Amino acid sequence: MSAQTLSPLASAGTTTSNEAADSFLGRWGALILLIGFLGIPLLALLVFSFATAWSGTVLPSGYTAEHWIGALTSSDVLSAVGRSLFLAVAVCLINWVLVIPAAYVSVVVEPRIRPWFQALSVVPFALPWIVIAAGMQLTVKEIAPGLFGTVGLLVLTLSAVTFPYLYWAVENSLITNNAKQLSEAARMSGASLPRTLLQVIVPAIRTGVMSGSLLTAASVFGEFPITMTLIGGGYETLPLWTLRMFSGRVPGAGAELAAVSFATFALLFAVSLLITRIDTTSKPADPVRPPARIS
Amino acid sequence: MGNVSLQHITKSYGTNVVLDDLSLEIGDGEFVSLLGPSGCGKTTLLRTIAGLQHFDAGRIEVDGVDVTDLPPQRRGIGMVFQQYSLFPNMTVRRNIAFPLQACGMKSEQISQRVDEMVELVGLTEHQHKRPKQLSGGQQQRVALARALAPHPRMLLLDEPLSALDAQVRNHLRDQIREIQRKVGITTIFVTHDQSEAFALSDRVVLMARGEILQAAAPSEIYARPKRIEAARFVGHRSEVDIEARNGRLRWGKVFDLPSTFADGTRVTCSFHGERVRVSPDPHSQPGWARATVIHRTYLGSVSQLRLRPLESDTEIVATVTGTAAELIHDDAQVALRVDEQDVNVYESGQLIAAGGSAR
Repeated sequence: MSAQTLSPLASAGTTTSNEAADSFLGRWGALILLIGFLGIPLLALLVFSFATAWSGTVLPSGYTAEHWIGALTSSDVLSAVGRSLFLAVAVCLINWVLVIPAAYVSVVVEPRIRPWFQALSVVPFALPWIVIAAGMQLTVKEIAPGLFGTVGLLVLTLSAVTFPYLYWAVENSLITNNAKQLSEAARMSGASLPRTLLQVIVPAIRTGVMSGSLLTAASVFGEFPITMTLIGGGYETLPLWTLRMFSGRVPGAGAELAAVSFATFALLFAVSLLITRIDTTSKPADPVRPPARIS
Repeated sequence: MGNVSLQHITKSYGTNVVLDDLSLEIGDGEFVSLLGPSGCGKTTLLRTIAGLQHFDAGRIEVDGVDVTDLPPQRRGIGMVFQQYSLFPNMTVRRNIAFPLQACGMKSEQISQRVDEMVELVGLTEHQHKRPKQLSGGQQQRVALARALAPHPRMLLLDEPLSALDAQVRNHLRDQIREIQRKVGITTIFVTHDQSEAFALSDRVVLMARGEILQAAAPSEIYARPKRIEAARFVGHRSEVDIEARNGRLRWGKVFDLPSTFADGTRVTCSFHGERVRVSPDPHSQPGWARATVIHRTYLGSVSQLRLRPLESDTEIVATVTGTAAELIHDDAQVALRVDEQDVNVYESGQLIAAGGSAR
């Protein structure tokens, strides 16, 4: 049958299958490209972390788990991870205490100050962090010399530069969840401000809090210039350990570095997936009781 | 208990006066609706009573106690919002229990009270669900139960039906009235829908531009609006400007009222669409006016006619029911008449006379 003699129904069928193919390419093509773009370097990193030697060939000449075992049992690595984790947790805690109430005030209580908060939260992106660190050092030297060169100053500085990650996420979440109305409903129900915040607002915006915290923790985990400027090698975090491995030219350090980098990525990716999972599974709420079985 | 006294409430945003020296007394157990067009200040007034809105001057008393400076959570007022505002992380039961926990009630009492409330609003089957699993009407019933649970002195309803579809709205409207009567709580209801206000209220407070135009029983507001602005908002009225002559207010053969106005006095006569008597046969009623049908709008149970009496440029609206409506079509000629007792007479915007008692 020639193309000219196709019935309208058959033509429609061809069009539909063409549309389906286009839709498939449109939907999956971009995703495949993105995975390729992001995935190939990660895959190379993973392969390199298991390679005995990889030079001049498409694939490594041999594989070993020694770099992973060495990295994950190294006291230097474990200490650095511990310090970085401590910083991430401390910064998140400080930001929760300061940023969540501040965002609540700017969205619910006094929306007129919102542009000020928004402008303030652009500063850490506009100024190089090393400049902020130097500024903090100079200020602290004058007004609180006891803090100079301490982990406390590092935590405070990191909190200050990472607060926009939490602020934007929380502010957005407060707006999309109608926090003003929820807050008014809670107040009309006789709730105090702390009860309103803890029992109504924070649970309603938990996804925003979690994603903002993840961004904060990730950026603290990988932060290098502020730590280097404020404390230096005296408090070796994971990025400082990475620098030492690079600059020390230690044989096999590259593969260990790859293992640690991949492990860090995998950890953050897993936490991110967990947050998404919590968000999607928590919506349908309480188990709906199954219908009674008729015997 | 639940008497409310609003005294000289004033609120402005810059030069824009939202509440203009407004005073109102609401009795215990009364169901009062604040009715008016968008921007008239009805929601602002409700939020002022709730304590959610600051105001510039005035005083609010509940049961004789000045609550002007009390925060919302200490006023003992329950409120239902337009968009439900249920707590999404809590089940129906926990939503209803929330105000009871906030006031420090014991857990056994909370459980008992929540049981009563879910039964009152007919949500026993859904008590373990979260808000997202409920329909709009069910969510609003949960909001009502939550507001009533702690035995508030007063209930405020901020357009609670406007987000619902027509069928659910009518059902919930009847349910709200039934529950309010059962509980006997003083209730203030904000709406821009006059049928809702008339169906629910003991008294309707008609507002415009931040002031109260009239506060009266629904039937009085409907039949005898005291100001021409009120008349324009309620029902489908027509207005005709008439000059008094020889002790009469006459508009052709449409109506003819006795009057004591001096000759040449200009007044506005207003009458409801359903009070216009229409006959499909223009010659059937000798004493009646004849008019041309400009347009007929079929509305199901009734039809609305835009009519222009012969020898007049003024259009009026008539609402006709039953088979008469089916015989009338666009451009047809009909006979019409308005009885004198159905005409309200306004001078300088104020109701001067109703029906045949024109001054």
